[in-house]
Amino acid sequence: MAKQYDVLFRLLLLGDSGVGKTCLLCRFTDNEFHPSHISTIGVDFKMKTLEIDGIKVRIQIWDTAGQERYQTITKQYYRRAQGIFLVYDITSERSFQHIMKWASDVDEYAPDNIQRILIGNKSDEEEKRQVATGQGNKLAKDYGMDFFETSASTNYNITESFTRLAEQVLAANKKDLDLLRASVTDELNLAALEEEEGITDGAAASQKGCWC
Amino acid sequence: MCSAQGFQWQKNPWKAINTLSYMPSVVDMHVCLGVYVVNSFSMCYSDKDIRVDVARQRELKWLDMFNNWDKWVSRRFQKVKLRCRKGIPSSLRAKAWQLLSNSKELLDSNPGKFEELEREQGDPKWLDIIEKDLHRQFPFHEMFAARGGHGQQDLYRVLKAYTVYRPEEGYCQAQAPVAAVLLMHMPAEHAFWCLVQICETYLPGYYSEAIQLDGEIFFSLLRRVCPMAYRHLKKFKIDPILYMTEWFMCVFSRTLPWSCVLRVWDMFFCEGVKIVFRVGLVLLKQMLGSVDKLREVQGMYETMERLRNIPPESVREDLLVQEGVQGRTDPPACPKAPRDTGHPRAQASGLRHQLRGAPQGLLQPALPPRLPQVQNPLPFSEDGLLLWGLWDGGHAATEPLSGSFKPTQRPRPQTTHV
Repeated sequence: MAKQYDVLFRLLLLGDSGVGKTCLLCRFTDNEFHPSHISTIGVDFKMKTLEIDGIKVRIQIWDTAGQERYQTITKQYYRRAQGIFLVYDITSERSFQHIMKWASDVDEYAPDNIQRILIGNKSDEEEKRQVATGQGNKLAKDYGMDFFETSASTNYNITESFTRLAEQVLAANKKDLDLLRASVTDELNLAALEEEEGITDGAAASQKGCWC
Repeated sequence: MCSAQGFQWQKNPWKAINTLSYMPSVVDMHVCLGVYVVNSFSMCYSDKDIRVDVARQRELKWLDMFNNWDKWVSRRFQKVKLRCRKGIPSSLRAKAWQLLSNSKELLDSNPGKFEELEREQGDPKWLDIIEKDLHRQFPFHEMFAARGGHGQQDLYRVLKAYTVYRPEEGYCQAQAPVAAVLLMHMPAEHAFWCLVQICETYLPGYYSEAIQLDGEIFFSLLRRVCPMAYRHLKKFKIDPILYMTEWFMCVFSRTLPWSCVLRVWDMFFCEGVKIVFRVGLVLLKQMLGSVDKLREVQGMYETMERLRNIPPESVREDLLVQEGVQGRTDPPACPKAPRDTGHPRAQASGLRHQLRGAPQGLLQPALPPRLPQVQNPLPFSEDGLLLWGLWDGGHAATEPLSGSFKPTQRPRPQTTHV
């Protein structure tokens, strides 16, 4: 039986409530856009397989609730991710300002070699724009991230941004990838590898965290 | 009656109907006729519709209870519980929910309070998030479909009022669907006090952080109730918070077919959060409780998809009756509960107490196996509607009165919080 994929890894969508994380994900995985949808409560995820440089990459994309209140839940998933989308809404200055907070959370909770990308969503709503493209570019540069303005509604830059982050994760794990190329039989499961490692971390983290 | 056929683009028709909240408008239309239109429930594929004369009789029984509510609650609570399990007549549901939750008393004893809260400015931090959520609750329901329509306006009023009422708690996004369900049944001020009761008496702490610990408790109960489902979820490392967060925080309002949501809420208002635990356990048992079912969901992704889009056959009422007759899904009462009121919160807190005391046994609480047996399922199944209540496995007939959750008898919520 042919292998379904060569590499599996996890990406995470972060950003304020209402910036369009779920819509980005639906557009990317199902090529659908629903103007009427419900808010995300908790955590959800979807899968998609891409082919990059002849490698079948299976990505698991985690969609999180944006409200601060859910962060005790969502932060547990940071450390399991290899790549993170930091998403703001170009029509909301506040969501842009919060990117710094999201980025510092990522620094604190995510693995060191995590790959990040900045997304300014809702680029189709030009008339309501509050954040200039230049501001997004500058912030991305300061943080050493790539930057895309996207629109889930018009399907602008969706595949491009997801593919870019996937490429970055692949490049960051190049050593493992070369090993994979050497042995044609195995598949590389970054997510699972990380998960196994994460078990002990998780125990430590759960002791630190306060559930009361 | 409009049909659900127009919604076939949805992968899961139940999700569609649920999201569209197609049912309440149908039910509500009949409310003014004063007729208990249980036939509306046929959307749930229930083949056990209630005859009109039976429905009318039930309605009269409820009206009689309303007239002597305090007496019924203090002296014949078991009967009240039974009737809630049979389903509250839709025409009387709003009033019953308010009486059961004691929110009616809060409403009556706080005249003008809601208007006062409304007049306050409110914290922009919360108002900003609330505004973003208004069009994301039951977006296909006629009441909430229009941007800035009366449903969305009322939702804003209720949610904002709560943030002013409890500024230290503020707004949690999961409160919005709960408030929306209430608003489908009652005016904003009534819905507000009902929401207050849900947040403070029924699900205290859920809208801040308590949900995670209850997730662990739920998972430890699953181990005893359905080891197969437990092992499967453990094997694929699917944490309880991944599926139960929305179930519990929204009291299944986004999960089940609409008629079932109402039935669950009827029992929830009467018996408290233990109903939420039970419904969750039955759902998991029905979806992951056999080798055949597990074969369809071999993987983390497949399992999550199944749990987030519950197939309609998993929640068919007749299947639930069957499930109930087997009587093996009831979470066991905790013998060491510090305040054993029979309320699962107390049971849960007892269990929580144990879990905290014995971290190694987090998923293996040292409880004796005390799963209740169904002693007398017949009274419930006569019209094939009793379904959920059977999980109590005969408790209804044997439980002493003092062992029941009676929010109507509880003191009014304190202003201080744990």
